[in-house]
Amino acid sequence: VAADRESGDVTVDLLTETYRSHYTSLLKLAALLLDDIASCEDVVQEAFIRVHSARSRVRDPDKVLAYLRQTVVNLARSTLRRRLIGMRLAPKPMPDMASAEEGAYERLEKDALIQALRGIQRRQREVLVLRYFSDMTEAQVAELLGISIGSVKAYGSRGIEALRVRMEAFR
Amino acid sequence: VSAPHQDDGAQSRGENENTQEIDAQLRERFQQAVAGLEPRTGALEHLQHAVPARRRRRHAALAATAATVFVVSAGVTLAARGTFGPRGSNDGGSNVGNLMTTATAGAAGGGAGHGPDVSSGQDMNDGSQGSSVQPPSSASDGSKPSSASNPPQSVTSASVALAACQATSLAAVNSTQSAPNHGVVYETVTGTAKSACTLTGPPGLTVTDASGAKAAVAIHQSDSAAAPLLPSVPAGRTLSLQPGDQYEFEFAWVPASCPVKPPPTSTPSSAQSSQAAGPAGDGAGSPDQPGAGATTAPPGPPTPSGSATAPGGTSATYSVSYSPDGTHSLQSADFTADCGAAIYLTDYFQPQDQAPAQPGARTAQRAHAAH
Repeated sequence: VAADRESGDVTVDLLTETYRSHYTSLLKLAALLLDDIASCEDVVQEAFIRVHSARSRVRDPDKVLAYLRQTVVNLARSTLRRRLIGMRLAPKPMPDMASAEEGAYERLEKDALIQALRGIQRRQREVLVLRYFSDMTEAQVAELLGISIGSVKAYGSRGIEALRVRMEAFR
Repeated sequence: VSAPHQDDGAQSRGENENTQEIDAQLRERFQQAVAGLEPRTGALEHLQHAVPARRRRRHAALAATAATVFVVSAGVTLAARGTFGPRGSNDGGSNVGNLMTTATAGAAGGGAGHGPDVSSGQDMNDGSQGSSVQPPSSASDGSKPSSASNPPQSVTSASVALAACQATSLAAVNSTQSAPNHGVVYETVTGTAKSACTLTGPPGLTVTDASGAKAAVAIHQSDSAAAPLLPSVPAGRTLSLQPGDQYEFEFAWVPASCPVKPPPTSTPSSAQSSQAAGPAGDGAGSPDQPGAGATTAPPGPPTPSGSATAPGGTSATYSVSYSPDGTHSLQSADFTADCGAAIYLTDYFQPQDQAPAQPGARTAQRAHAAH
């Protein structure tokens, strides 16, 4: 029972702690990976729920961020995301999500980098975002995406080139 | 000879610097692009409700799967016994179909009486009063050379002819209430059987507010995240009680934390609501676990019915009453909550089943009797 109590407290505290440390950066990660910005909050919420409702995944707090990133990437990629858009996982629209956040979404939609990112291959986009936004090493990206380091390098260099071409086209 | 090497070195250094510059620019641009994004309001509160709710659903799904596997395997076992067992001398093949029907149709009294009585099916029907899990074990009652692999549970559920316990067949229900632990109050209810009967969970609880009206307090199965001090009790068990036998169950009263609005009222009793979890709006039963920094100030004991309110002025008193058959209340206890609450409830168990596993700390916390 004492162990249960500990794990219960740890889980709940860990949720708050993880939220404070990583939620915003994961939200931004999702925004960079997704075509439809509006669903990035749903994806991150779902990732948090999945990771934190599986006790085995929160046993080692050091790995929680890795699980969350992985889940965000998978959800962003998978067809489940499309269902999420329809279902709107959050049961009710959060009351005062109006002006500030909507403004940020609008700005994001107009950003040239975001526009250019949407035009490149999904793998290239994932590699670039994980390397340059999440500051992961090539080895970490390779592990997360389940590909070789050589592939990460190749997707990265081609992705940068594709991004450059597209961004120039926007000017 | 050395000149080309120097050129190569300078070139690769130049490329390296160029790459680093591009990397730095990309990092900066990515950060800039999403700089304004912030979580929407209430995101954490939503998670604090959704995570335990999802965990409960997972547990329920697992339990359902386990129960299904058990029922199916029991059905297969029964079918095999019906075919090859020692009793089958005059029943022939009709036995098998009947047993399978009983095992799969379960306790819902299904079958609507189709197929007139086949003699060997009768003992199965008798045994299946409580739930569909009962038949296999009750079938081993009596003359069967039952296999040694039956769990001990099947012994208690072998009460073929016992009726379900009514309020009149139970006596001397006592309850003890713990001091609040992280805001959660634990209640232990112990009863004694007056006459032989069976008890099947979950225990019947009714929550009323101070005016006696039914209160909207959600009652959930025990959850170690929300109420970690509840004992782990297998669900769906049927206790067979003989006169004088004791039974027990526990529940936890988990007050929901009040939403913290911009002008923070830093009253001492609201220390536990550090996370501003939403109240019991969607019935998800928020596990009001205090945050890491708020574990040092357990609130005072719940006030008795109708007495003083909390400093916030919104404390409400609730009465939780227990009735085994939904008619007569055998016991009730009072609790308070500022912003709604949820109840987490164990199934019935017999005290001797749990005794060795209970640490002293938990029982010590439940020192004083509520009534």
